[in-house]
Amino acid sequence: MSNLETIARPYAKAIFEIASDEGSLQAWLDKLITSSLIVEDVGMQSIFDMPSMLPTEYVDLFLSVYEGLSGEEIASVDFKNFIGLLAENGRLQALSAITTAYEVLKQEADGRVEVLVTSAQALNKKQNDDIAKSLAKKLGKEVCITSEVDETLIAGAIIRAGDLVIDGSVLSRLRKLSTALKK
Amino acid sequence: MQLNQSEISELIKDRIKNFQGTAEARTEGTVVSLMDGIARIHGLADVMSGEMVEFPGDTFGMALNLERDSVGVVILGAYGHISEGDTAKCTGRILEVPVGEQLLGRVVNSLGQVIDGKGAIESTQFMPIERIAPGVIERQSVDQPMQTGLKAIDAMVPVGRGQRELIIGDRQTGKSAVAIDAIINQKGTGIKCVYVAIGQKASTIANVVRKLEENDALAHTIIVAASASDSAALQYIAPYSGCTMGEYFRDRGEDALIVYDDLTKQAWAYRQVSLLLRRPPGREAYPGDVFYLHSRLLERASRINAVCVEKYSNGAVKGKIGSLTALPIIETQGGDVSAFVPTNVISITDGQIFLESDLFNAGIRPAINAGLSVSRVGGAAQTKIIKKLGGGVRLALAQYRELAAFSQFASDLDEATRKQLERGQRVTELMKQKQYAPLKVAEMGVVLYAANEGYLDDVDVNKIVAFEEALLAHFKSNNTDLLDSINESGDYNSDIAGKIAAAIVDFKTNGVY
Repeated sequence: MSNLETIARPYAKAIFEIASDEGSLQAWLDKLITSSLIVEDVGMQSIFDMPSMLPTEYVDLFLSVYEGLSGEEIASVDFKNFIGLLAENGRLQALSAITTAYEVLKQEADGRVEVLVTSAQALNKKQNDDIAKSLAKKLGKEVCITSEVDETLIAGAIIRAGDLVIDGSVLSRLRKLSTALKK
Repeated sequence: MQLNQSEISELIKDRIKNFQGTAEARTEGTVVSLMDGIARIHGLADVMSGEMVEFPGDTFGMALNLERDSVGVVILGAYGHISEGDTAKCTGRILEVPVGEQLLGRVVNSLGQVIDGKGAIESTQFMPIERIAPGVIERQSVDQPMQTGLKAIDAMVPVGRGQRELIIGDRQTGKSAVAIDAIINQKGTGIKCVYVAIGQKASTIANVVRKLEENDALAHTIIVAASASDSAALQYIAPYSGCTMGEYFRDRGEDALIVYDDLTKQAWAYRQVSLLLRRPPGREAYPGDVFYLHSRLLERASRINAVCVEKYSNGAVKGKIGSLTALPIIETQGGDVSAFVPTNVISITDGQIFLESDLFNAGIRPAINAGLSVSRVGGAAQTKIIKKLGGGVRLALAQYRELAAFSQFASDLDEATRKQLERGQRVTELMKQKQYAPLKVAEMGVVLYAANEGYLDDVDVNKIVAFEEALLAHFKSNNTDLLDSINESGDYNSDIAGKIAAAIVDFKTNGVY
């Protein structure tokens, strides 16, 4: 997992720089998401594993699948070259990791952060806004909230923004109390 | 004992009241791989080097390798219940251990948890295990003795308070025995002791605890035990934990003594951890920072001035000088002091006590090699009487060694040479001392005086040990005042010398040995 990320980081950075020069950050993200879908497909994986195929054949196959999937002609030479480079280096497997790394870079550039809020009960509009507001203040970034309901938390909520976790759930407090009493 | 029910619910109520259940913000990561006590964790963006990382099941680890995509964490203790995909949390705290007077008389592990079954320690104070050693301005020079109670050491390689004196030698040469005797001798002096056992058999540690208990020395001692069955990580941090517990006393203007038994095993444990963390191996497969491993530890043994004590104790203690004396132990293989770790530690410390198996087997115990043992700063700290009388012993032994080698070829020797040889034999015999029988300054002074002034020359070599015993018994029954006054002041002048001489003559005429 972490290995692929190390490989993915320079690729993602290179694409991000190209995309921001062109001003086509979103377009590249769409392309990458589609590409990683193709790579993750089980049928495609078995083809990629075939030892008899040449890198150029991979690229042709990949691009034709891509065109079929997205229903549009690939205009960007950069994208073709990018796929060619990946195939040549044998790094097509890293595409989803590259996509993730690219997304992080893009969010950083946009000053946005994805936040997952897991709560015991569904949040209403006001609660959602309050959380978004205070998080934006704490993180100094625009917050994009995805919410999720998990009744086992009993009450309260857990907020996750990247590695940062703010845990205000009753479940974890009870757990902490139980370890404190056991000591 | 009957359990008091209200007491228990009182306890629980107290705990619930003090329980802080506020929402916590922390950084989380996921365990990517786990092997040999090393966890690789993805995430933990804000982790600090040396920070405690919390795993499920109340298990903690220490972050050692901070890499681009992962963090290498060494798990402290058992790790059987942790699996790949578990979450690991930052705690925001550097690894710390409990400190304080309550630890005296107890046996704890490297994390300061009690393992002697005598109940929990009510400690409120914690200090990080890795602390920066006092700087140049904060130090005070060594000028007070730390009596080990062993004639051979206190006379020839004296140790001062705040000094680092290495005890080095092969296995089975009595290295630990010297250190244990030094701890026993601190009884009633106010010097607090810390004994750190690293990589030893649990039975050996239990023996040490029992011996200290028997000699009434456990009450002023903290035992930090990381036995051979503990994980390498615990063996690696044990000396730092012990040092922190000792520093507590130093920082409060008291004197403390710490024994690291032994640092060779700690270096082995650190080598294991480093190699598992995939740090590049160097000489003898030790990592590149094995010198720093020991230098940063031994630099913390120091004598600090009153200003510094006031600063460290937040103004609670004024006008007192604190010290932490270290007796690190290194085990050599076949007497090879030029191996990597021994040379490192020799160069770091302020002198060494060199123990030899040949001497040990020849019955000279403690098996101190007087030629190779040195103390670079202890001389300034000797009491007056030992300083005056001990010099002669060192010289007599040095001349004896030279002549002994030479005289093996000569058949007949002149009078002066023969005399020197005989003096040397007697002094060598006199330097022998039983285990767990440390001597007070005055007793040592009397014995050294007898040797210096030639009172032993007409005593048979085989009878020296018996003579010494009987002489000291005579002094204890007839000259208690003299012994007490020397013990108190440590002075030496013609008046005292005259009194000692008179008592010795009295013993030689009337005593039996």
